[in-house]
Amino acid sequence: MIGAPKEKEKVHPDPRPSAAEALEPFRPGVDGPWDRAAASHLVRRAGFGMPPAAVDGVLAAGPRAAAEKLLLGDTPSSDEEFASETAGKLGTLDAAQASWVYRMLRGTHPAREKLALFWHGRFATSVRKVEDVRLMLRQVEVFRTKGAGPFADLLLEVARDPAMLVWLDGNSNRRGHPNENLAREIMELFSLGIGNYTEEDIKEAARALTGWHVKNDEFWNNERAHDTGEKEIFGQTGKFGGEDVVRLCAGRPACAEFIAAKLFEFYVHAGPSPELRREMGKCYSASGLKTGEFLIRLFSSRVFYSQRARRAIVATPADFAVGSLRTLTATASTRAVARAMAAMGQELLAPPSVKGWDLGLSWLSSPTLLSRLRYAAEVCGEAGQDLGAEVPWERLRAERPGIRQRFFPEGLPAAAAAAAGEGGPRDVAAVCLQLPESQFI
Amino acid sequence: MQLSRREFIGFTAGLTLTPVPSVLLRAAERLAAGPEEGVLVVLQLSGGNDGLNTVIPFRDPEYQRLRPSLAVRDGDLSLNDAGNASSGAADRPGAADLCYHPRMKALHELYRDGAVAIVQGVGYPNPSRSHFRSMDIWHTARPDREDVATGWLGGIVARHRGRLNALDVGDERLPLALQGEVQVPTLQNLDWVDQLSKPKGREMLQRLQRLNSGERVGEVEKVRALAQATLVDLEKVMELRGRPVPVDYPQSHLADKLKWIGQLIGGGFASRIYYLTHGGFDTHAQQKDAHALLVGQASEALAAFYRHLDALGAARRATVLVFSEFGRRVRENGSLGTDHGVAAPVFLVSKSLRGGLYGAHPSLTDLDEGDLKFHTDFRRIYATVLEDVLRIESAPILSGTYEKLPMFERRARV
Repeated sequence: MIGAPKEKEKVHPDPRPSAAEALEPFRPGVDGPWDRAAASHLVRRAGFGMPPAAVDGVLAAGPRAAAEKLLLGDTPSSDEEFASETAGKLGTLDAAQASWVYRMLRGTHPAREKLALFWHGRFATSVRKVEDVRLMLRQVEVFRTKGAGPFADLLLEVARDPAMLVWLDGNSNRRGHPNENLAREIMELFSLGIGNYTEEDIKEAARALTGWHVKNDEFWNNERAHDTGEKEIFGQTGKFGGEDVVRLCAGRPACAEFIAAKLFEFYVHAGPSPELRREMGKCYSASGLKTGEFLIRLFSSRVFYSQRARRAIVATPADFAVGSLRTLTATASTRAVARAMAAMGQELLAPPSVKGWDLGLSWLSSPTLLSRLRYAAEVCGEAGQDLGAEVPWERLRAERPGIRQRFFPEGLPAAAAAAAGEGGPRDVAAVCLQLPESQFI
Repeated sequence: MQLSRREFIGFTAGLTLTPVPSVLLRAAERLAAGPEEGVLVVLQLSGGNDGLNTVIPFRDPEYQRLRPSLAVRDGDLSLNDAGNASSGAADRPGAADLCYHPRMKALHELYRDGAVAIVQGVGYPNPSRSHFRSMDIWHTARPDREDVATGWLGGIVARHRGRLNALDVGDERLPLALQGEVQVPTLQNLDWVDQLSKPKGREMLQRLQRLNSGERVGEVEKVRALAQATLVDLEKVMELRGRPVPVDYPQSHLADKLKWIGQLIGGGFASRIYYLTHGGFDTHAQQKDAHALLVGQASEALAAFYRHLDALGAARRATVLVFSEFGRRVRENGSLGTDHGVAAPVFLVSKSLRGGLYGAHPSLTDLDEGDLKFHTDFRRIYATVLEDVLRIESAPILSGTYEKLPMFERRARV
């Protein structure tokens, strides 16, 4: 193991790297120990929960190689593809949600599913308006296949995605009667953020996007509805079309900074400093906005392993529901898991608005917290049968050092440790999952 | 963490994730629902209830012709006898030609006692036949806008913050009707409350409380405090749930929820708005038995709820409003069911209202693309309950002024 105990005195107790150093590679033994706690941190942030085998693999590989391996993932198993295909054939919302949960829970590439979930929250589209589950599933597939590639390609694909065009009223955006909905969200939520464009830019971009319609569930470039005149966007003029809007937005320095900061807040911790945002923007730009490359850099950086980042993110319902099962190497009815996530405030394919889900403590309210406590009880067989959880309790009973270390490899504060008394594996697992500490990943 | 055990308002307060100043709590307690204050219970029939087979023009040959397999032929539960309606036939045109669905005997009895008002032909301009869109319209009371994130009831809670609380007795996510600046609590996991009341559940509850004792730091402490407050509130709910119920409720999920609301109202719970749903009304195929079961369940549960409140002396305070997002197509389809329609009746149940029919049954020959035409905007009903049940101004909530229906006016004769 790297970072052996004798080097411990060299370990920085609480590294608060400067913005310039923050993205430098994490040096095991110098910036902190490379131990089970660090490896578990990467595993639960990049994916869902902390399956012991995944933690073992990461620990053996070291931070950089582990990040690369996690992001690269494996090709989908035939089971996963079958789940998605079946959901598409059934065309029902609960089957679609269950198929996505299946891929998070049992798929070969949890990091891809986590990133797809990030993009689902960023390009938040809801079946409530789209009213077509197949279009929604196709959009998620775009997040899977393009999510780690160049952001400009993803943005273009999303801006021409049939579900998105239904969601943001593409068909009513016509020459002479522009509908600004898509243009506004491309700038405000999808690429730049408020303050980095003008109302004029939106009006002109809406004109450039006229004619991007949906017909027979496919993207349709309706040339008759397209405004062919000159437009001025960000001070540049031309007979712009939709591709130009995407290219111009993705090319702005503000875009790299905006998306990099969103990734950081999703994966590392809230509120990066303005200096760090700028550094990340540069770094993301330098990678050609290749999200996967940027994430590998982030996942092997000093700031990622800093104490500030540890357990600093409120578990999303996906983290809590899917992660709990994965940490226990358990399975359950994926439909029931999807329903439980909805009760916790995250209904897949139905985000509350185009802004997606709010992160952080806003996940937790009395009813959603109760839903989490109840879910923990169901996983441990203390309440309800609906979840159909299958947990290898016998194997867990024999395991040393035990379940508590699976959930909290970094240890627990004294008060929590006292509450988490000894008992059978079910009791210990229930206590671990119901501790307030478990709401943080 | 001093949260009011007495009035359970902490359930709302806890949602802010910050300890509630005790001054606010005391103020809220003082203003908790008193015996004089009206309580509104909104029951949503999800999926589009077939209004035409709920309040039935059974003598209309057109109805019999267009509903060959679904038509109800006997009119035993006639609408011609609304006990206390004062102004006679003018209020209930054609009542003799109308009847309740034969499975709605329980509600029909209340109707004969004068405790049920039926508003016929309810809808809104440019009707949407999409479940989601139409439901959103009923929830926001804004047919003109698609981007409204505040529901009509959520708007009330925000506007009368701390003084007028709501409770969602739902199974799923918070309905749009209750959404707004103040997060309305949802009491889901009803069965879990029951499990926690049992010995093994008590053990779990004690453990949860133990887990949440001992202060932490930072955000973990906020979560711990929220969990602690939630558990205290949960105990209050369990305590009220243990209260004896003086009437028999039928066996159904809906009846369970109404029974609980009855216990909460009887226990002086601080909420004055309760919201619950009864689903499964989207009867595109094989409608007959499914629909009969659903309206029968609703009828029996509502009647039991009314008698429960009556036994507690609260039947005048509480008003139930029963709506669905739309009615169904007049002509039955080829699958022995009906497709999405437009206008439908809305029911109100209370001892304080003037029972009977409001407005005429929509014509079955003058249709709009095969659907009944509406004549009464649903916002008139909202205005009525806002002004006359909750006793608040309706115009700011509904973004306009709507004429009330005269169902809560003092009776001409006693």
